[in-house]
Amino acid sequence: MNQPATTGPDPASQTTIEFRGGKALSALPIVFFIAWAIFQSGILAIGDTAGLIAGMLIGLVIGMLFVKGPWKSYADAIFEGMSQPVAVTAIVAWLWAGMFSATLQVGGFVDGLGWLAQVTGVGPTLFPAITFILAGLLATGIGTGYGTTIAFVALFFPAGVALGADPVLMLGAILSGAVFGDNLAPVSDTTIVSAVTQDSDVGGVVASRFKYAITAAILSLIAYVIAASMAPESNVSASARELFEETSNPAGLLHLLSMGTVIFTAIAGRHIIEAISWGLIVAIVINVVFGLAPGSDMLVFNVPEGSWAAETFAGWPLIATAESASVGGSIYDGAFGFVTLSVLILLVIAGAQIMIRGGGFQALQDFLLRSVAKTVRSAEVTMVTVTAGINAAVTINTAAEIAIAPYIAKIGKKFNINGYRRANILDANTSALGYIFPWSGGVLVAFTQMNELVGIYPWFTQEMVVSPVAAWPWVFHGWLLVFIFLFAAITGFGREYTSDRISKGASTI
Amino acid sequence: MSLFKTWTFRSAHPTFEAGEELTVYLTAFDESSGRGEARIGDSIIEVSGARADQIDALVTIKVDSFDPQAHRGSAHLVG
Repeated sequence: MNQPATTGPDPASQTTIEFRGGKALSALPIVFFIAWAIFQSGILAIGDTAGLIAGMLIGLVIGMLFVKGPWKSYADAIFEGMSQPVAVTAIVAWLWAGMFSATLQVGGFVDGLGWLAQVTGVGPTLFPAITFILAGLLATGIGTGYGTTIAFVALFFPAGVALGADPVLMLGAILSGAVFGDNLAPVSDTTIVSAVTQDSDVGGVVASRFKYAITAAILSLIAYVIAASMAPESNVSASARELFEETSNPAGLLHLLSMGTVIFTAIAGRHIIEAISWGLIVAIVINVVFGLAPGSDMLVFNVPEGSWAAETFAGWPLIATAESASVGGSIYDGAFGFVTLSVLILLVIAGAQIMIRGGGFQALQDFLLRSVAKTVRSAEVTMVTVTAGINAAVTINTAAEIAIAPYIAKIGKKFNINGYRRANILDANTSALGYIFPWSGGVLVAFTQMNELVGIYPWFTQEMVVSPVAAWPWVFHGWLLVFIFLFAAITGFGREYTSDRISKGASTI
Repeated sequence: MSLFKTWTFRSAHPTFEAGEELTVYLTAFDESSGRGEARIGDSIIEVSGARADQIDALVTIKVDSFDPQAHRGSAHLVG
């Protein structure tokens, strides 16, 4: 995901909660949540984010029962976790990206893509691969994989599915693009955390990780073309496709200007809130000036028919009468769609903080690092697998990255592994695993956005929504990054020692 | 730096030349002998003149000798 985050004090350094049954019990809330998520969304196929909130809450309550001594320290850790900047940063990105994407939706950007696909003849075989490239470029430009996922699931996913592309492949391609950007973008918060925690400069880590990212991306691109050509015939009905093609309209492509505004503003070094806000303003102006969507499609106050408000404000802009009072429009819907997920993420980060303060996190890392890192090769393999493992368990990848970073620095320095190399191992596996498993932030945010599509497009049905558990094998770029780093650790590809060059940021005494 | 400069395979046992100056992390220090150690990959250089408080810190050393067969060498602290 996204923006500069403060790394704060070492979160794994202090144990403040003691558990009956040992440090391992501090993992109970998170383990319970993961088991709940697999049971609910994987086995029962219930994709209800609020249901996951119930699971996390129950996990936190059960965990408390195993605390020795006063339970206040447990409660404090929950608050401490929920107030961490990483969680809030993710929520901010979702809310802003949600508003922006929904406003492009009502402005007909998807209809524009439909027109473009027809004109260029791009069909279901190439659409996932092209989606991967464009998502990767957007994520690299704006630095937020979550924001990219939201925008692309809202805009490219329905277009691809309507054209007959495999929905699972489309989702995998979008998530892969998000991984690419999260890993490579200089303004991505995972990139910044990886550089800062490994005594390196952002420019240096981006330049040195290019070789891994581009190798994985080229292989992913080929894989998406091959997979799409082998995918079974789409079950999208002919009428849905016809309807999509009928509504195609080149005017929607005017919103390339809105997306360009976000990308260029972000590249110019502005904060992601500022960049997306400018994009949103441009999108609203385009919608109104070119007649793509009336103002009330973006924001509307619905007042009950026959009420005082209806009589008083009748005819005012952005005021409409309805059966019941409500607020609506893309700005409202786009942001509101992520409120439930935002609450869930805060609770999951609280669960992770319980594991950190209960000592479970440190015990796990100590065991892994002590028992397997005997040579530089095994040390690097351990760095890859531990980073991937921790990120697979913790929903918000930046939080996992910050927690594991001191250990990556420690083990890497033991073998004089260069700061750039350490940062690259840390960030690639952090970015990759944040978008693969059903409980990961990237997949959850995609699923939330996908559900919003039902009802927006007449041809988009519930059957086209991809279950979170179905995505994991198809996030090719994520898996390839992990495999390339395992290959690099074993063969020494790209390895640099501190004796080869010192990363900027490291200092001698 | 060039994006393609580090597209290479690096040995787990890097080698060094006598007289070469390196900036590395001091990875170990033996209080009894007063000798430090800089492990670079799976090669080890004994460092004379180091202090205990320099462990895990970057130091500049000058290589006195290095045996590429044994992957071991000796160096002294500079400055």
